[in-house]
Amino acid sequence: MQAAGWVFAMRSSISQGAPLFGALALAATLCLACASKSPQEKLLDATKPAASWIATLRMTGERWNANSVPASFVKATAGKAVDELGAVAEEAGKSPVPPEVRLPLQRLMTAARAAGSGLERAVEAGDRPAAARQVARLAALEGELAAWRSGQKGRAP
Amino acid sequence: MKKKLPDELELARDLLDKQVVDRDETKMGRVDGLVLELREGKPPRVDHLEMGSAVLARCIHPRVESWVDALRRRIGVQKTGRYRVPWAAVQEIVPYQVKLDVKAAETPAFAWEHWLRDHVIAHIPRGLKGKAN
Amino acid sequence: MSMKKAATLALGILTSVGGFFDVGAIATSAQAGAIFRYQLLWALALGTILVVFLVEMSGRFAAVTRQALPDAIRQQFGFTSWLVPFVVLTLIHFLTLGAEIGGICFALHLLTGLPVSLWALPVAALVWLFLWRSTFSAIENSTSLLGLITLAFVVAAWRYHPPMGQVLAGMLPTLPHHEPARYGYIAVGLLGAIISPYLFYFYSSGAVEDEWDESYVAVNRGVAVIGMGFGSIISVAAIVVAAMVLAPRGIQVDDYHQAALMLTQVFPFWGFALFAVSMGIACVGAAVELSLAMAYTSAQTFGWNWGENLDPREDARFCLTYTGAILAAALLILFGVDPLKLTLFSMAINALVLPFVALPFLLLMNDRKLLGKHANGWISNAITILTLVVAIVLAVVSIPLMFLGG
Repeated sequence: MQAAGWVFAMRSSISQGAPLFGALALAATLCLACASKSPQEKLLDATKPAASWIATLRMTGERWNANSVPASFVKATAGKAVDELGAVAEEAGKSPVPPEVRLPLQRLMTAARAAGSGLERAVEAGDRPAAARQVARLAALEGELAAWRSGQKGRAP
Repeated sequence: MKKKLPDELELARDLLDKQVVDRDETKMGRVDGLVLELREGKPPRVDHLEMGSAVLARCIHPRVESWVDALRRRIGVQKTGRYRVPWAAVQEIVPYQVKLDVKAAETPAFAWEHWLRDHVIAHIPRGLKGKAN
Repeated sequence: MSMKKAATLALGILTSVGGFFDVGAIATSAQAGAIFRYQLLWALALGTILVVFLVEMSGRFAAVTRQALPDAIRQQFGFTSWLVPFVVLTLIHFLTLGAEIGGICFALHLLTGLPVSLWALPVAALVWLFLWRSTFSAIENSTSLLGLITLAFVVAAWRYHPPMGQVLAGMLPTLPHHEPARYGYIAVGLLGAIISPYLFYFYSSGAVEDEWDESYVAVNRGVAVIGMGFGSIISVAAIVVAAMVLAPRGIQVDDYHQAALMLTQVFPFWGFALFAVSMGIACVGAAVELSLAMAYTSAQTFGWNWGENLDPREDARFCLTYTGAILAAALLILFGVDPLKLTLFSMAINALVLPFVALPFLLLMNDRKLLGKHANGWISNAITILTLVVAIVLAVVSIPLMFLGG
């Protein structure tokens, strides 16, 4: 019976295959984890989503000014952004990199969070000029973060 | 009732795990097990089909069957987890189903189906019942 | 071609809008475009080719044998072989259903400003009511008609005039210039989001609900291509839009709020709402497919009575399965599980189980006793074997990549 032979093949592939996949997956994870990163590289990695969130805040502000997104969206997005930027600031604070490297980053994160909260307040008040000011501030911070990152990339091995 | 059965039957392929339907083509369950009768000096023959949770549980492991039995005694919707279908009730065997000369509603196969219908679906508000046309 | 056969297109588009372009495809397409621009289009192209063939096979199988896939799997491979894949698949479908319900809730959050978790139970109730009251053809027709709104992505992509040279170049696999682990993770996610077992179980069960017979084999080919092609074009458009809007600004998609900005530039007034509605409808389609797929799979595994055209009093166990699934999945969102994280996690686990779905499929489609002259030819077999190979690769790399690139 053809079916019986295939059934056996399937059953043994399930019972043998699963642990095999597990072993391969574990091996792959360990091999790649062995190529660990320096604290500098880790911090650099953490700033990529931060740059993304600052850019998000900026675009959200711009779009609100252009009447493309509602105030509730700005509020939700700003809230999320402020949280994420705070997490990056925390990571910077814990990082063993020298102070001249992490302090500017922490300042940037604090400034970005302030701009995000400022944007939220401006939008709640319906204040377009104030929102535009925060957007300009965020654009400047984007540039500063990009400069910090390229500086770090130059230094990293 | 005229029976439509093939001349030869491969048990595992043509009977086991097949969809079982009743006289009105209502789906009742699947052929979860077969019980053969062993006779002295003669080849074994199919005595009856089996359907039900106890049969499936036994396929996994006899201990699982005892757990399922204990659970069933607690919940008590079905009287038995093993519905025996005598061979005489088998009316038709086609590639995709086995037809029995019974009415599903009168068999233990529908115990859960009826209980759920009467105790859960019945409580759903009148306006929500049924298919909108 | 009769009217009824022309209407089968609705099944194709519904399956595509919910199965192909769902919350997983939105998340991975947006991420792919935002970080790697057009470089991951090849994963989408590969997934499309595979899924078109697999859907065609599912439909052909149902049309010729008058059986859906889970039904045939239980019958041909037996209960004990099917038990473990069945349990694992049910779990994956449950998590994915949670992600889709999360997607609907997020879309409503965008439109109303109310928090995501607040919408969990209302959304569950509406999806449930839809399934409880509607016949299968009503579900097909309404969801596929509404699904046409996702064409907004295509219009947006066209209006951006993307560099066609780069777009076409992206259709061929290339190595990434940066973040290789993330690249791999998104590629796995894209393929996993497209090749989902619930898609095939739903499509084949839908073909049985629509009472397809052997005469539908030819039409099924067209439906598979047009239906899946539709979903694919929408996903390509999503990648293009993300590449043109998010990538230049350096916006990654770590959160659905960032994806929601995608259409706001090209459609200054309607863009936000179009994104929300598109996402909402795609996720409703997916939630419908998933909950029905779970009910179909359970009912067919155990031999219960099933069918969306039956009154719930006639198939209590089938109906209560999708009811329970929707409620339980909604609880995940109610208790605050992040929809995007749930999406990415369920996609990674889905990748793990794919080989165990592809192999029985290969065996069934070659069974001449069941399919006769409609059994797989060499092209279909080559594609299925390729799917099996891709599935195995995905299964091996998905967990490590989830840790490294996620």
